Amino acid sequence: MKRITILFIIVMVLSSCTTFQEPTTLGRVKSSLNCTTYKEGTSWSEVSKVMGPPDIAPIPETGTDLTNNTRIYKDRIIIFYTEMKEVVEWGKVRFKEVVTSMEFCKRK
Amino acid sequence: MLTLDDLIGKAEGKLRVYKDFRLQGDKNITEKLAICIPDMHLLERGPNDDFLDGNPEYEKRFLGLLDFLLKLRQEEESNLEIIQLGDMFDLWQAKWNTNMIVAAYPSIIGLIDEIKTIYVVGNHDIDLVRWYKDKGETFGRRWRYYSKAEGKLRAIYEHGFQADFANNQDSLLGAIGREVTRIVGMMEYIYPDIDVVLGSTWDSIVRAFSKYNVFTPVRDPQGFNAHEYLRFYIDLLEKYNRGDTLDQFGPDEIDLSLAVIGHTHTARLVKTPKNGRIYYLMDCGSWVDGGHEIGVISGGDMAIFQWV
Repeated sequence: MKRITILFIIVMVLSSCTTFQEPTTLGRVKSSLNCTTYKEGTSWSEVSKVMGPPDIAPIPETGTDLTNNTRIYKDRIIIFYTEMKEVVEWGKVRFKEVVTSMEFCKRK
Repeated sequence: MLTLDDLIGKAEGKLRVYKDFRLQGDKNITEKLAICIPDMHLLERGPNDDFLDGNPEYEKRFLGLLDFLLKLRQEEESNLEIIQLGDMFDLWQAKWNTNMIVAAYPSIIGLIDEIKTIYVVGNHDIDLVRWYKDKGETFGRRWRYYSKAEGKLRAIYEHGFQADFANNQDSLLGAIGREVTRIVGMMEYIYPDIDVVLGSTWDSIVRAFSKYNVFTPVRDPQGFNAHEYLRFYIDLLEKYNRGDTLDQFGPDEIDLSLAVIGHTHTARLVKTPKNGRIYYLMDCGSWVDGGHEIGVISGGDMAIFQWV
């Protein structure tokens, strides 16, 4: 009986902890970040201004003219913006969630 | 084909002959106007970036040259050859590789491609032909380039490190030279001009030994050499002219009389007679270190210019 009581108390305490956490909002998360929105054609200088220098800059791949490059960040935050898109599968209307925009962020 | 005087006129005061480095060759050397851009040493704009050298106007000046060449390309189309003589990138001192240099100078890299430049590899960017050696990827870099006139090869274009025993990348001494450059590059963070000071000292030692034939007083009794690489390049041109190379050209196709190089960062234009021919060596100097020099050949007329 004693064990059941202790277990009950633990479960109650833990579950009540979750209720103490306020639901986080995008605005609250972003208040501690510097972000830049990605879309095709975004200038690299804008990205690097926010993200800082990359952690890795690999050599160009074969078959390029040195102007196609990749830059790698190891510890940064990505925010995906999603929405529903109607699709037709096997003649029936269905929905899938698609990414409409991305933000790359660095902690302030 | 534009003459050198036509070119000077088109540049509207931006091109002037450097020192008195202009020569009329004894025969036609090119059938197209050939413009040679020597060492650029692009880096990531850090304190050791010799291209910028702490002067933002140097970048504007080079962009001005590229704008002029783009217009010239549009007008002259295939009657123009633009050759970058190597050391376009300084991969010995780069933090990464070409990747972030492209990010630092997108307009320069984009424009120099746009004007259909022929790229020769230098010792500071030789990694471009080594990264994917097994796959044969060279990113458009060539060991050397040739131009023709009257159906024969008349000029050879290469970087010039091949003649420099301390920088020949196929030798152990060359590998040591590369490491020394790396160390000097790091010292530039403390004293940005250390490379210029040490480089000039080294060059003056090599030049003194070479000019006065300290190593070969018996073979070269004349006791003076107008350029430290002159002997190397005359030997190379003669070797080609004899058909004594592994290249695909037969002796009937070859009548070389000019070698065009960079590498030394000291512009010179010399000629010398040998075995019934006249040989020319055009050292285009450098774009960096305030040189802003380019070499130009039109038919038999050749000169080193400064873009001001």
